[in-house]
Amino acid sequence: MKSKQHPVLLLLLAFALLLSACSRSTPAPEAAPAMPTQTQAAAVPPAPGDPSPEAPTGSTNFRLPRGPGDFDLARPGQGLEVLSSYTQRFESTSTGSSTRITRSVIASPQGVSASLSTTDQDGEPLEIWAAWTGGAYYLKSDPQIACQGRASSDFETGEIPDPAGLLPHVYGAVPAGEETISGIPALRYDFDQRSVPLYLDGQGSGSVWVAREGGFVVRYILEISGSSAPGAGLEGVQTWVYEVQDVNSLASLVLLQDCLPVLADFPVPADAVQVERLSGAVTYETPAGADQVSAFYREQLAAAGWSEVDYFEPSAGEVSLSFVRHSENTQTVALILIEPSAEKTEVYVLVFEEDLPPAP
Amino acid sequence: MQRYLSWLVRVCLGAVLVVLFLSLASLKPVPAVSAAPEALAESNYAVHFLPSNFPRLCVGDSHSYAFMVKFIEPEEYEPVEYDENGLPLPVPLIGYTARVSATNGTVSPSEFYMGSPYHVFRFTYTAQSEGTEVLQVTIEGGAAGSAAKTLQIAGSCSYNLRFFARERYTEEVGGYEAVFNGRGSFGLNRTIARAATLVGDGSHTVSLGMWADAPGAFSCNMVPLRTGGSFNIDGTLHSAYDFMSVNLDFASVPLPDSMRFDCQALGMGTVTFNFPIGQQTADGNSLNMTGLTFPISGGVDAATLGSVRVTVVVKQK
Repeated sequence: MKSKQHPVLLLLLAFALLLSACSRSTPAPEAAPAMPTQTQAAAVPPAPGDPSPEAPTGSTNFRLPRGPGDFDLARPGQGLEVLSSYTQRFESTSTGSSTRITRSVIASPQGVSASLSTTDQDGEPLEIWAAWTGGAYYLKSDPQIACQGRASSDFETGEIPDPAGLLPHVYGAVPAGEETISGIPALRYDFDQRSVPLYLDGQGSGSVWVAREGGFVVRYILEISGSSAPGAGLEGVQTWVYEVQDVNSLASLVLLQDCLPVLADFPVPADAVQVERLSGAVTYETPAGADQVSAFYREQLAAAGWSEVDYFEPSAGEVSLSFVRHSENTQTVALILIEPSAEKTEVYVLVFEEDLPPAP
Repeated sequence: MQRYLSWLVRVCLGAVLVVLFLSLASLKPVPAVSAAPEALAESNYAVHFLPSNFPRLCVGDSHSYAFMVKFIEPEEYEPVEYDENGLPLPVPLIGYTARVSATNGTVSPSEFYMGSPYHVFRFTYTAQSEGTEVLQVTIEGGAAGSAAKTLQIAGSCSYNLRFFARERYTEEVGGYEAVFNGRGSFGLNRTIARAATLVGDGSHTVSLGMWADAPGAFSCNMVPLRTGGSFNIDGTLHSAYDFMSVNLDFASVPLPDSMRFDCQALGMGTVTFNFPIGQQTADGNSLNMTGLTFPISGGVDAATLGSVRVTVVVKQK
């Protein structure tokens, strides 16, 4: 019997060793536990509609040195997608330059506004404000130019990225109690440079606050100094401050003061071409004559609560209509300027607000 | 017995191979001497064009565009370098380049050095030939990421301008309305690269109406005063800031020298009054329509000057 047990034992031993070898084929500097996701570590049940946290992605990748805690922040923007509205405020500084982003998001009616203040590669300031709301895009790309809005489909533009995507990831942060940030109960986690793979060779510390409900990052602060990684030229102190505010409390996006609303819904005839819907103006061309255009607006605007007011023709060859609609303290004026020619009729619609005349 | 021996040999041989495999597997990986670019074949940089008008440009126009490049930090790292203790380090974010290319024009600068997890870069594009332009940003040097934008380049550009200014005042017993209205067009006169002067003209009309009402007594309406004239358009296209400033210069025009009122008074029927007002002029420059700013794609500049609402619309032809 002994002679038969030996090969069996050997086989079992070999099999066990083989399993062990396979399980260690990815060397790890230390026995790392499976990485909990951001929400798993925070022990927060997912909010309704929140996509299930992804399972840890197996053991094929190396584990970097990490902090002593169990909390990982590998997806700093996670959890925001289920909020009905929020505002993110982000500021990062590095050796004399700073980048600030403020971004507000509303789920319904869908809209985003964002501002970016930073410097380009030459240290020249760059300030951009943009918003997409009500089917129109607004842009103020230079302080010297008035905000411009358009609703035309060929108005191609870019975007100001989600600032959560600019936060360095954190692995191994330590629980540090509960705090309320901007009215949101949150779990706090502290960490130092050991938890920040992008800045392992620096010195610094930070904290992240994660909402108890929803698992999104409410606040994030980090200060790192003396890091030569990730790149040369970044020695010195680098800071990140990020906070989420206005959670589920934004009723609408606020446009800049010089952003006239785009006339996205102002009626135009069905045969209008070259339609440009701008801030406070609509322009187009139509094969219809001035009488047809006038009749169109008298019918459409009367049905929408506008009243035509007496008006005189400002110049020969043109037809002008004037309509008003009253609100509590102001009246909105719509001027329709119709310029017929032999080939086409060009129409300008201008809409603006006026103070109400004093009551009799 | 022979079957047993052969089985034993196979098992032992297998065990030896397993032990050998274990020995190899337990060794620390050989530290990489340098970053392996091949390890970054997937996109690990996101490129975002920042908000900007992407207008229809014209040959000779310059416009600046900005974009952000940011490192997509992986949820789990696959380091390609190791420190002196054999511990893995993340790939350094240095040595990469963002390159901008264009098909119908020039880009300056076109190469941007990347040394941190995110950057904002700005370049100036100058259109050189008509057609569809594709501006492409590509991350090079071992990292990966790209973005592209298209815009249309026209052979030449000119603009239509329309302005409308109105002042309306009403109260219980009457009111007045003044309208200042005009249209014109202008083109670009290029002087030096990346800049141009604006040259054009137009015509305008000034109208003024008044009315008075005393219910049950009388009602008067002024026959609107009308006059008109021409104006010049000049200005500058500032490529450095990607906008144009437009100035309107009006010649003063004479107004009719009398006002005529048609009145209906109780028991008197319609009565017409003429009031001589002497020689009066209307000066559009009093509204100071200078320094109006528009993106080079056109747009709206609106302002309230005192009680006058002024709206100026500029459209590319």
